[in-house]
Amino acid sequence: MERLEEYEILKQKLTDYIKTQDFLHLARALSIVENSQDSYELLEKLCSEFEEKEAKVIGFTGSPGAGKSSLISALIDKYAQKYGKVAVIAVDPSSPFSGGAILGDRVRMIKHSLNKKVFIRSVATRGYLGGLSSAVHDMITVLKIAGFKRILIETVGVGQSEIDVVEIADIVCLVLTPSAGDDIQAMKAGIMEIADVIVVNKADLGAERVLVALKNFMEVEEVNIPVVTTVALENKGIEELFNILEEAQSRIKPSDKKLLRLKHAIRSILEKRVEGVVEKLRSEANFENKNFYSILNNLKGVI
Amino acid sequence: MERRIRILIAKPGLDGHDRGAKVVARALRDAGFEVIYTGRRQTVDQIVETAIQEDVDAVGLSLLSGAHNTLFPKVVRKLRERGAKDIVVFGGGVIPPDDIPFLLENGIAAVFTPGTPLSEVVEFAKKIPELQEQLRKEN
Ligand SMILES: Nc1nc2c(ncn2[C@@H]2O[C@H](COP(=O)(O)OP(=O)(O)O)[C@@H](O)[C@H]2O)c(=O)[nH]1
Ligand SMILES: [Mg+2]
Repeated sequence: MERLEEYEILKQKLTDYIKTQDFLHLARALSIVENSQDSYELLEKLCSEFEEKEAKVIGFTGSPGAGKSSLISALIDKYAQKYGKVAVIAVDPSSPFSGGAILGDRVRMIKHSLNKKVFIRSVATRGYLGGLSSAVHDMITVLKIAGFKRILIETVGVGQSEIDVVEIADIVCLVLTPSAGDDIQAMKAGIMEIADVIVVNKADLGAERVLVALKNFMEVEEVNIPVVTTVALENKGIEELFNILEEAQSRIKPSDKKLLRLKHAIRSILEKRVEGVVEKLRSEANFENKNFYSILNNLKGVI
Repeated sequence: MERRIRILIAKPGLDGHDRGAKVVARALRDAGFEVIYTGRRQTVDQIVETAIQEDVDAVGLSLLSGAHNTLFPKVVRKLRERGAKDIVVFGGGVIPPDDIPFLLENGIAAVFTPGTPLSEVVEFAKKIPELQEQLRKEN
């Protein structure tokens, strides 16, 4: 698509959404930024013409199966009730081999699929160098312009993405389970630094051990992060979690994270460019000589 | 970022397991497609609204119960009514050969029966952008 044409369609879709509140248009606008090759040009223009309204992004991270999707599903009604509407972006990794993905978070959120106040979108990381898809950043911008005051992001807490989520979210909620007890000792301090709120979900399976481990850990690290126990499937602890998340919102000054987010945006653009360079280098590599070391050696001058 | 074809794999109706749907979902993922998977027992309205929000390029319906003649065309009709003119709909499951022409006439782009090699489904999925182009002209 021509860039100008791309922008005009994006603008049209977003305008249509703002006018009609029909998710059809919003969904198409999001696809345009997700697929755009030069999204930063597109977004810069968009931000100059539309007002990016005040909104908060809440990131949920934690191991696969911890209950992130179930928790979000339980929280959705609270946000929808308080803010009129709420958006969820659920991120799952793309296969590094095929580039494809199975995005299955909606399975746990199905009861909201006909709720006109709830917009849910599944996003694949699309084999990015960093963890989180940089498209998520752009999609959040579009959702803010679209008037969502609360945007919930689910990311699988493996590798880079759990760090990335800090740079995108205003509040990070780390989701643990009773089986995380042993891991907490081994946990890097880093993971605690990113968490604004810790949830021990699946408390029906017995949360005592993990709560003690958490307490010890925080004492040693001299940090004090609010901990909430929940049973997402039974809606237990959800009200308290919601209140703590909303309270954390006002506790953390936006300026603290603004710089981090700016850094993320810049990094994702640099990554895009670097990725292009890497691809070019690889395509220039001489594979006629099939020796691994010869191939790399021949590339030395280029890098 | 490069565009990827997005496909919703959904299971309407109240019938049993979703093994077949999962096998197709994995095959499509392994062929480079992004598959949105929503589990069993979806109503037509839920499938349509999910397809809209996810802005998928295609919806694949899996059904064992025999209600395909009503449910499959209903998904197509509701998608079009909802304004999604260019979402391709295909289906699979235990479908008697005699029913296939009727489904094809009613907007189902392809029908796969048990025993169809997965490679055939993948080959079909690669043609989704062309089929969308066609739909845009028609609708
Ligand atoms: N026992 C129990 N199971 C839960 C709870 N919350 C979620 N689950 C189950 O844990 C599994 C993973 O949940 P999901 O929300 O998909 O986790 P995610 O991968 O972190 O998004 C599912 O089978 C849920 O039904 C809970 O509070 N207690
Ligand atoms: Mg999940």
